[in-house]
Amino acid sequence: MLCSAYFIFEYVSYKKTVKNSVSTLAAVIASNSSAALAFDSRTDASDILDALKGNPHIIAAALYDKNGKLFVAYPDTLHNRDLPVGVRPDGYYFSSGSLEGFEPVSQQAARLGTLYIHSDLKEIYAQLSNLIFVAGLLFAGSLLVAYFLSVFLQRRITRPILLLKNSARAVSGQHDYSVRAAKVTNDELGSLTDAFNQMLTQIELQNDTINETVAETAKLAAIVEFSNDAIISMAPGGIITSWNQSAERTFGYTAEELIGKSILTIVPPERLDEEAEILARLERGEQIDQLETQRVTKANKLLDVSLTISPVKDAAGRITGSSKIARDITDKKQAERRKNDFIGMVSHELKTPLTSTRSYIQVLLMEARKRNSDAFIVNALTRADVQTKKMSHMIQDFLNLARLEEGKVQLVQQVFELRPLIEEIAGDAQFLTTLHRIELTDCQDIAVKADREKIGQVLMNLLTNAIKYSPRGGTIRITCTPELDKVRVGVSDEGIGISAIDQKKLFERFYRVENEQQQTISGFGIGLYLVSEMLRYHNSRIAVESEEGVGSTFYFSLNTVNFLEGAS
Amino acid sequence: MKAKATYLWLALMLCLAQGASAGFVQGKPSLEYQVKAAFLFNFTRFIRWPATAYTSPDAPFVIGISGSDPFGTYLDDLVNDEEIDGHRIVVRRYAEGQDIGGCQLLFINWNDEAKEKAVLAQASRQNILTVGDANNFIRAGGMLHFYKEENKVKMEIKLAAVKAAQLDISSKLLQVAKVK
Repeated sequence: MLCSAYFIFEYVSYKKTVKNSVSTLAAVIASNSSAALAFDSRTDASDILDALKGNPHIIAAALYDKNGKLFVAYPDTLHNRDLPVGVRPDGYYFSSGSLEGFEPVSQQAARLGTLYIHSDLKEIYAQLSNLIFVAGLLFAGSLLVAYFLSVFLQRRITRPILLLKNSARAVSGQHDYSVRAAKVTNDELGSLTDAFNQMLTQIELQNDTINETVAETAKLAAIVEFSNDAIISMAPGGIITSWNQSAERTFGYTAEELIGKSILTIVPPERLDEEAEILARLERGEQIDQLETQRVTKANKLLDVSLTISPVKDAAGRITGSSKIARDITDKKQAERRKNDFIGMVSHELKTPLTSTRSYIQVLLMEARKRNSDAFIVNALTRADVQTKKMSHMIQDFLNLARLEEGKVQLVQQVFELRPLIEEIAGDAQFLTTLHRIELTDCQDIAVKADREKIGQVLMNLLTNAIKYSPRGGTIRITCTPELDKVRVGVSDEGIGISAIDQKKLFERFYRVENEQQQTISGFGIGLYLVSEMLRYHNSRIAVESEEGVGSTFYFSLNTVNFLEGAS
Repeated sequence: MKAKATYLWLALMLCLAQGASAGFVQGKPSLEYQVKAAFLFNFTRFIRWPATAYTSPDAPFVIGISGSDPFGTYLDDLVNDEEIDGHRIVVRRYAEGQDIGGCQLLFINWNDEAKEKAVLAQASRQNILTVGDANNFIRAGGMLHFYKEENKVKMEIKLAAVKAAQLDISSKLLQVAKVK
């Protein structure tokens, strides 16, 4: 195609060249013949036209006068039929195999006649056949070059590529990443081979890492699978994604049964709120550590479990789910229950003689005062009364504890005004100390709905703690802060404070802060536990803010009711 | 009837005789003078006159005829609306002794050699191309002489005289003429 385009181009340009040379020749002849035409000299005109012999391609020529009448023709032997029928407008005309031209003959702008010239195009055809010959030669030559080039490229490019291909096939066929392609040249293909080999090295390394990871994962999976604790993983929203053998044993459900189901399947109906809170805390990224609660098995049996639940995060820190480790503590709970029963029984057995002892002491004290007995007797009886009272409080606490543990606590909810209760308890507490001053602020006109007696115990426990743990005395403040439909009650002291570590365990049963300073302070470590448990029954929680050496503040919230509504 | 025919013949013969002597019949000159008229006009294309040949830039180019006019209106028709170098071409006829100033090409046609010489003498001092067909025309001092050969009109040119009149003559014209 390129060739034919070239031929056409050449043909057109040859035609143009021929036309130019013929028209130049014609112009010269026309100019020379003007006088011959003007002065009617046929011999001169013939002589001039005879000059065309120099160009073998000029077949015919003729001079016409102003009126289009033939003046002379060239060559002499020319037959009339080889001349045009008439003078055509000035210009050049290509016809099949020939070029005819009409050139004006004029002198000083005066038209004297017309020169007719007729050239064959043999020159063009000769040129073109030359061109075709040369082009054919070039074509054959380039074919030859292309052949040698392809042989060279075959050696230089195709062979290294074939080698690469074979290596790649070996790698993918046998999964043998230790294969390396042979490097043949140092050019681009050489670098390609290097890159390929480098890639193989990387794949080999990654493969090793993957194998190690797989082994590690399998090990971990085995650990999880055969752990004694039920290990469950969940997607956000509590949809179970894995369920190990221990979970199957503990809860009676198989993995097939529960994967894809909600964790709520194993939550007893009365604990649904608690699970909702757990899920909310997980979504905030919090961890739940050893929460003791109850779950239900497939056979509808309640189990005591200790839960440790952690959010699972991806590399970007987004929470993608959670893992839950559940330990069956039913047996432990059973043992605790026996212990509690024992404590309850002991407390009860202790309480009966103590009540009777205290009654006698009070009777004696009344009698001694009535009879104005000496100061020693009154004093001794008063002390005995205070000590027995303290003792009966302690026993009461144990009984409360036992009841709590048994779950026998019944709330007696009523609407009452908060301030009178606080004043009453603060008054009782003030009796226990002369070193401390108990202040209360802003607690007027607040009605709450709660168990009055238990809230009284909570306040009493907090106040006795505040007194106990601020041995240097100071002010103990009770504050009330209204919050929407709640009131936040705070008890703050100026005591020794609680370390951050201790703050976490503070509300556990029998927990006592251990440091030298506090060894002198008596107690069983059940006060704050009771407080937190009683508040839990009120759907409330105890919170603490503390700084060592500065003091502590304990807070809890209670639901308020519209005062008027409460009063009615 | 016969007399009438005789008169007619006589008239015809007279006419022919006059035509032969004057060179034309019924307003159109003989083929020879048609060719000579064309040659006269064509000279304007092959010869250049100097600017001094004109009295003013818008003066016409005058083809003058001194002596008897063999062309009739043929020459006038031939040059009608033609011009040379911006000068309109006109034909003027000059009587004996008339001033030929302002004329650039003069066809001299006196049968009298003395009159012919007088006109040539008058023309020689100016840029005038003198043309004639009298046999002695070149010898008498003319520049371009028409003569006949094989029944064709030919020219001979006295190049020295043409140059003397400061006329620039094309070599192409010289090729078709006999140069003296």
